[in-house]
Amino acid sequence: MAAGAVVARIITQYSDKGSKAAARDINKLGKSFDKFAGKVGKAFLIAGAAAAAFAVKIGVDSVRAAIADEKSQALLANSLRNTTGATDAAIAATETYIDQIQRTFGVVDDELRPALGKLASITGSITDAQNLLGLALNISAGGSVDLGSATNAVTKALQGNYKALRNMGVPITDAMVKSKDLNAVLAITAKTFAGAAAARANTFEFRMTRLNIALDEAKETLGAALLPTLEDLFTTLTTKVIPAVQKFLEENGDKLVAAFQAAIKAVVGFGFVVFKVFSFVSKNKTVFTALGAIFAATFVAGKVIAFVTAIQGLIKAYKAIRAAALGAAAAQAAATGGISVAAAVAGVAAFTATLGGLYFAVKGANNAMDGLEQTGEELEFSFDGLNDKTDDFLTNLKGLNVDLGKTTAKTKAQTAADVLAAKAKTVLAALAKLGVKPTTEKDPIQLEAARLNLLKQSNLEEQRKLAAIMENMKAQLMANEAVQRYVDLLGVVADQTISPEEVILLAGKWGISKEAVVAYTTAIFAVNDAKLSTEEIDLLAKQWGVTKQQAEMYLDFFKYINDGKLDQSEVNALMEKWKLTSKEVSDYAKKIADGVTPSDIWPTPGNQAAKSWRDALAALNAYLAAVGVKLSPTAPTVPTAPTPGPTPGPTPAQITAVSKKIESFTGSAASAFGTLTTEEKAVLGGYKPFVGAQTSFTTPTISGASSVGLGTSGTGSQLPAGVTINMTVQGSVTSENDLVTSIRNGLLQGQNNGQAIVKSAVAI
Amino acid sequence: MADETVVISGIKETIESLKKFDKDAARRLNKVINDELALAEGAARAKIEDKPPMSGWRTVPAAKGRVRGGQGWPAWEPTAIRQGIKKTRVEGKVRSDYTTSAGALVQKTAAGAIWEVAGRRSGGSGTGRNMIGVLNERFKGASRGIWAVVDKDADKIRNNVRKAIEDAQKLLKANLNKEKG
Repeated sequence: MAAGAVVARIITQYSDKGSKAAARDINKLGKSFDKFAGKVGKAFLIAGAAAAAFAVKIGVDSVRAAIADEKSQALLANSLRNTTGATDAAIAATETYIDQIQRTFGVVDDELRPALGKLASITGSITDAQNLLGLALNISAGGSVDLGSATNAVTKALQGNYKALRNMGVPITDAMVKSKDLNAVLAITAKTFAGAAAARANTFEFRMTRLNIALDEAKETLGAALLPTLEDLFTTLTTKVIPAVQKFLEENGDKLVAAFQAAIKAVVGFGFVVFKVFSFVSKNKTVFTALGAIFAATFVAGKVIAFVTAIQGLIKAYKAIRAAALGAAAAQAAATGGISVAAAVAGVAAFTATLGGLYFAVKGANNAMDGLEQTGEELEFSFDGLNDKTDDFLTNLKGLNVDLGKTTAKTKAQTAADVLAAKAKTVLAALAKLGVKPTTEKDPIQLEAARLNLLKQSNLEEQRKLAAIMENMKAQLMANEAVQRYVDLLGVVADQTISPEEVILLAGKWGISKEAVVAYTTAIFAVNDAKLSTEEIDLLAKQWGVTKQQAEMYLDFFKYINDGKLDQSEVNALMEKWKLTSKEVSDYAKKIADGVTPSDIWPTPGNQAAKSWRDALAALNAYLAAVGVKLSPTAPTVPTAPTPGPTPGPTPAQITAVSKKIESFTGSAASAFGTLTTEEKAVLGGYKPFVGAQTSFTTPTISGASSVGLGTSGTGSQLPAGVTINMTVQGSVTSENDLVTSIRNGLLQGQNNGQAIVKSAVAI
Repeated sequence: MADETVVISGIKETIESLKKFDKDAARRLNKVINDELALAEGAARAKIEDKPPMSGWRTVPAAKGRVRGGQGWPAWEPTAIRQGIKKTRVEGKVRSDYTTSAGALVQKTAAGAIWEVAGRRSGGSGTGRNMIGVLNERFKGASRGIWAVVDKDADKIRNNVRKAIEDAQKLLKANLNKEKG
């Protein structure tokens, strides 16, 4: 066809050439599309990643800024409340003021708040602090120092130290310094730096700073908006994720334990084989190292359950976070600098992938090992038993139920963990019966150890109780011994003197040295002369095991109440000397008068004495019954309960006098008794000789010295002021000496009222 | 000049197949197509007048220059122009719509082509504008020769060709069925 010819088509058809060209064009177009799509996709990916990264960056910065700003605000608010008593409204107004200042002068609020807080703490006024903050801003701008330094200079000036301001170029004269004229100093400072902050704010640098501040404020606003989302995340984690993890672990604990126990058993050999055959370690060095570290740590610590828990916790957390709170997780990551949930998610994802890779690696390795085992190619490792272990591992791994939504019947059944828990409950119940507060410990072995320990402690408690009882008994014996010694002393001092022979006699009887006898005797009679030397008080204090002051106080009180009464002048004297109130004096005197409160269980001198008298009476009655003598003895009169207050018995002198008179008696007891004066009869208490038919009987044996206690009977809880000895004897006594002895002992009992000498009474 | 493209499918394949089974039928089909194109060719040639379209259009080649009437401007030679109109079944190059020609008319002479398409794309400029204006006044718009025939007779021709192809395809089918037995 000639060039330039005009062609008019009449019949048109499709062309093979056209089809092939069309196919080529289509292919080309497709490739172009693919290429375009790829480029576009990459572009979108890059753009998306960049946008996401930027969003995360913005989010991180925003949340960080919001948190920091919130903290800064809280600190300032607290400072203002404490120093100026600012109200919430005042604090809000202060925040507004700070926001205006930072936008106007280009100084960030994180610098303004501490400065304002410091100035407020110095001045105690928000208004003054704000004025001074303006001054500090001018100083900062004019002196080319940071706001903190300028604020410090101002606060020092407020405290009378103008050196810092002078160093910044403020022309403070010596006269101002000398006169401490703060107003003048502040005025000249303000004049020196007037307008500096405003001028600085208009510079290009600070205009940019102000722009950045505005952007930062916007970020903080964004971050503040994100914070509720983070709270939702925390709530979700606390109320859903963690309980779900716990529930999962409870239901799958046995499976996990079994799976990972098998894994742990196989891991060493497995790792070796994989290394030999597939160079798995070299290909997955990081992963294997991490797993190896976990396994090794597990072997070392022996905490299989902890390991399993950690693994499953990660998986569970990953699933839960991914499903429920992925968006919130990003915010959380932003708030925490991207190292918490995001890191955990990434870590869990990596670990999950690793675990999956490990599974397939194990599976592949196992199959390959089977083949290699058959051929035996260049493998030095023995496979005996390894396949079974790895099979177990794979089986158990497959059986893991990591779906939180599923609760299989098997997991509902009682598991080994449940059995352990039941055992633990049983042990805890046993411990609860022992009064032990159950602990959180669940290991039966540990619980059994705890129980044994508690039993041991219980034994120790019994030992302590027994020791206390022994101490009590010892105290009681000492009290008895003291009483006996006092009785002995009364015997030997009947002549108002203690001869060396008597000292030797007492030492032999009491089993102590002569010096100890002398000391003891001195202590006992120290109070009798109503003149206590310092040495005597020291001696008594030492003897009683109390302080000197306590002994002196006790003796003072005893001196005043020894006459059986405590008049007002004596109370006043005691109040003045010992700086006590009237009630305290009364209480203490009553305590001395009442003496100790002996135990009802353990023998006391009073109880012992009462028992002795009852035994004596019983022996007498038995004797009379044996000899066929019909007697009608009356029961010993039980002394009535003593009235509160000091009721001292007869003095040793009175006892001695009556005793001597009785010893000089001749004739019948009744006639001899009749010669006594009323006072002397009072010394004998209620004693009356029995006058009746003459008969003969042996004086009932009065128990030994140890049984001679304070003359009382009955409850023994209170010591009588005196003793009433009623001896009803039908007929006359066999001998006068018997009667004298009996009466003498009765007198001694009457004297031994226990209130003046008993050590326990001193132990206030 | 029609804008739409009417494609008759199977012309080439039918003819190729008929050549295998029934050469006479193929020949008949070709004859139908050629006859239709020949009719169009005759109609187009009839449009060429002996008198030049414009009074100044030289009837002999110009001695010099490429101006009308000068050397290089194609002379209006009615016989040559008529002979320059031919029917053709050359496929030609594939168009962008993946079609080729199965039958067309071609105006091979320059003078004929100028007369055919002058003023088709634009109204021209300068003396060209006057020429186009005169041509349009005398012969209506562009597509004055072969295209005028195609625009007028194309549907009839296509229908005749399509009918012939359908008949040929029926015949071909019958032959194929006969072949299968």
